[in-house]
This record gives sequence, structure tokens and C-alpha cells, in this order.
Amino acid sequence: MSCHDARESLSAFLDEALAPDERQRVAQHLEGCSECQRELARLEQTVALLHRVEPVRAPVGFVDAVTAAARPRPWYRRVAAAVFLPFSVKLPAEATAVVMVALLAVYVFERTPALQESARTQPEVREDPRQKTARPAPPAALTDRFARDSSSGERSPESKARPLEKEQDRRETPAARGRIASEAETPKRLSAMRNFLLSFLIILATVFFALGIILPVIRFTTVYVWTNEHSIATIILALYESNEYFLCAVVFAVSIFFPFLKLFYLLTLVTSPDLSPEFRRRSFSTMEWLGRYSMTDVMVLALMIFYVNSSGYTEAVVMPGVYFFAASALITMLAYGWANTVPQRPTALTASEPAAGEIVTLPTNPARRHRPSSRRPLDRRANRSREYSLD
Amino acid sequence: VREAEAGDAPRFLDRLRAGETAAFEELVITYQHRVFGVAVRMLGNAAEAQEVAQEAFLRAHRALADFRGDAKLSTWLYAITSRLCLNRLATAERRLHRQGEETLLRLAGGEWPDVAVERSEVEAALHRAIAELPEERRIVVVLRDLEGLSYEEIAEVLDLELGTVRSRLHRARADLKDKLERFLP
Repeated sequence: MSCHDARESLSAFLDEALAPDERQRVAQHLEGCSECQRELARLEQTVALLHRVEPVRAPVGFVDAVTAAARPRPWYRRVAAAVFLPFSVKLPAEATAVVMVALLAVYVFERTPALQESARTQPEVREDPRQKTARPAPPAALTDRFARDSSSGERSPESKARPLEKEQDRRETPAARGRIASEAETPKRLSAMRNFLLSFLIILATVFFALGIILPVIRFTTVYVWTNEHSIATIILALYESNEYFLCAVVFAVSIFFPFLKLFYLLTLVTSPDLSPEFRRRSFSTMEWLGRYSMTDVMVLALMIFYVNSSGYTEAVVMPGVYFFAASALITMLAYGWANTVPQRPTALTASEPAAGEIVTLPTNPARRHRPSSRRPLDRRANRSREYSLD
Repeated sequence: VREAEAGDAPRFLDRLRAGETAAFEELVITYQHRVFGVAVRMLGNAAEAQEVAQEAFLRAHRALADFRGDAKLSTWLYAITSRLCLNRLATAERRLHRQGEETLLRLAGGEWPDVAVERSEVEAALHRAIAELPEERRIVVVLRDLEGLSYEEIAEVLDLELGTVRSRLHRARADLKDKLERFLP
């Protein structure tokens, strides 16, 4: 053992805090090294000096001060503290949440006529207007389903162009459509129910999403006393403040931007029946892609909690925020799956499908609107009036 | 150095956990000097130490219901106090303070209004030497040589490896030895 190594251990040697074999080696070294012996003696004297320090006594009245301060605060102050503290984090987050929910409510409210209206419509076959022979639509997942739903009707090739009437049809006001919708029969009401439930789920998912970001998701407890609560928002903020821009961006993208985008897409799909099928298809595939990352946060938290709890002393527990976040992701997935399916075509309506040899109506979008048969099922001329120019 | 371990009986812990006011008062009476002692030696200022010591007890009070008793009460209180002191020392305000060496001057000048300490030359030099140690060494030497904790307890209190405790204590004592050279026989 070198002098350097021995001196490193002298303090512990003095306290008899060395393992037996280590102690033996230090003792052996000390026997042959007067320098280290001198060092040990000085150290011992220093420690003896330290032991001479008088113990400090707490000031008089300390106990009374502590017990007085330990009396519980009234409940309203505790609640207020839980809701608003720390101000710098919670107030902006809460304000953002309120604004987000309010905007969403307004948005959905404004779309309500369209919602009702879209409930009335049924999916139709999607066709290439330039093609004279009618065929089921291209095989993309969504349109495929539409095709399956409506392929019962057979198409005639000799359609004629009536672009003017189409224009007229477009001029129909939402109010008029709503009136028609209000006369809906049972299947239509079912469809309205479905749309209502879908929007409800989406709003619920949005609220949960906001809560999931604002509420603490994890709490670290050290020595039972230091509780460090983090919400996704504060984690992102902390990452930003510690200049971890890359991580900050990743966490922001995965836990805020992607879910937000998903919700936004979903809402758009449900509330806007006029979207082009192309956009519909693309947004669905985008959501499918985004969906893979929706639970990343929960995974990361699970790993973190496992790691922290397995390393002792500090404990980590999940907080309600996780549940809201996970619930939001699940509801989004559910709503997405639901929005991706198309309600079954009621049999009563298929009766009015154009029969073989009839003129084909070509809808601009598969989800709604150009459903003449449901509106004027017996009026062949009206039906014909909806043809596209196929020339 | 240390008083006998008084209040770790299961009965006492149960009373504490149940939120009994008398039990908490007993706890404060038993541990006040130790908690305050660590605080005052870490912070070097009686008023600040009293504030931190009170905070330590209040935090303990709030967390008592969750205290499982797998650590000793004393160790737990030391852990709370040490952390509070280290946190306070680490704040920017405090660092600025120390840049002006005010704390050291105050300590060396012996401005300890409420604390009954012998103000001999050795004592003053000791306090000054301890105050000049870097915080993470100071806390180790305070816990070991002034409060009399074992290495294992210090490791638990500060959440450190045993080897780290050992080396920090060694460095702290070596520093003190150099500073107190003229008082050594």
C-alpha cells in the first residue's frame, strides 16, 4: 500500500470504519511509515479538537414556535394552494386549458348544423367522374369501405351531364339541410347519435388531454418529505430552461403537438362533412402514424418510476395526470377507430338505390350530401338532375 | 456526543403517525437541539438556522403519516435538515452573499446572538474553519464529528455511497487539520 492510498484511508481508520482486511493493510503500512504515523496523529488531534466544540442549543421558545406553526391551515387555503400554486406554472396552464376548451366548444357549436346534416347523409360510392363505367372506388382502406357499403347499386354507363343542377344543389343552405335532417327516421337518428357521441368523445379526450398535460404526472419523494411533482408541461418547461432543446422538442412533439394534431384532425373529420375524400384518406393515415406515439409518455413514465423505485431512497409515484393523459390517448384511438368506420347503410334506404340501367349519381365526396335517393327517393328526374358531367 | 436514542419506540411512532399533538411536541423537544445544531453550523446564522430548523420540523410533521419507520427518526430529521440547508446554500441569493464573504466575517466575528457558545480563540478558529469548508464536506464533518453519526447513517442521511462519505470526510478533516495547524499540540 502506498502512502497516498494509506492517507486516503486514515480518517476511516481512525473511526474504525474500515473493512478488516483494509484495516490490516493500513496498519501494516503505518508500522513502516513514520510520515503516515505523524499524519494520523495530526488527524486524530484535529478530530479531538472538533469534539471539544460545545453542542449548540436551540433558542428558547423554539418548540412553541414550531408547534404553533404546525397547526393545520384551514381547508380553503389548502385547496387554493393546491389549485393555484405555483402561480407561474399553474395559472398560465389553467388559462390555456380554459381557452382551449372554450374555443373547442365554440367550434363544435358553430358546426352543429353541419353535424346534424351529416347525420342525415350516408356514404356513397366514390367514382372517377371521367370514367363512364361505374366501379367500386379505389382500394384505399376508407373508400374501400364506402364501396362495400354501397356497391349494391349497379351503375349505368350512359349518364348525361347536368352541371347546372349540381350548382343548384350546392346552394342549399345548411338550414334547409337541417330541416330535412329533423324529419329523419330512426336510422338517421342513430347516425345523429353516433355523431354526437363522437364529438362528445373528442371533447372529452380534449379535456382529458389538457388535464393530462397540466396535472402532475409524477411525484418524486425524497426522505418522505421532498415531494417534487411534475406535470408534462413543467417537464417541458424544465427541459427548455436547462437548454435541452432537442429533448424539449421531442417531448413537446410527442406529448402535446401530436395528440393535439390528432384531436384536431378528428374534430375536423367529424364536423366537416365536405372534406375531400383525398384529404380524409390522408388524414386517417397520418393519424394512424401519429397513433403509434400516443402512449410514449406513459411508457417513459413507467420506465422512470421503475428505475427510481428500484434505486432506493427516492420514491416515485404516478399522479392523476397520467391517467388523464392515457385516457385521452385511448379515447382518441377509440374515436378514431369509430370515425374510420362508416355506419351501416339502413336497408330501408337501399331500396331506393338506382337499379341497373339507371343513371348514376356521382357524389363529390363519399361521406354525405349527394344522396338524392334519401331525399327524393321517387323522383327520377331529380335523381337524374344530380349527375355529373361524364362527357 | 449524541444523546441516547429516545423516541423510536413503536408506540411513539404510532402516536406520531396518528397526528397526536403531544407526540409531535415531544419529538420537537427531543430533536430540537440536533436539528438546530446542524442548521446553525451549516448556515452560520442563528436566525436563518431557526427558520430552517422550524421548516424541517414542519416538513416532518406534514410527512409523518407516510413515515414508514424503516429509517430512524433521528436519521430522517437529519436528512430533512441537511437537505434544507444544502438547498438554501445552493440558492443564487446565498451564493452572492457568500461572494462578499459576509457570512464568514459574521461567523469569525462571532455574531451568534442566541446561541450559547464558548467564545475562546480555539472555538472561534474552529467555527471559522468549519464555515470555510465547501458545503458537501462541511455537512459530512458536522454530522460525523459534531453530531456523532456513523458512516452508514451519514450515507443514509445524505443519500450517498459509503465510499463517498468516507472520502468527503477525509478531505474535510484534512482541510481542517491544515487550518487548525497552530492549535494542534
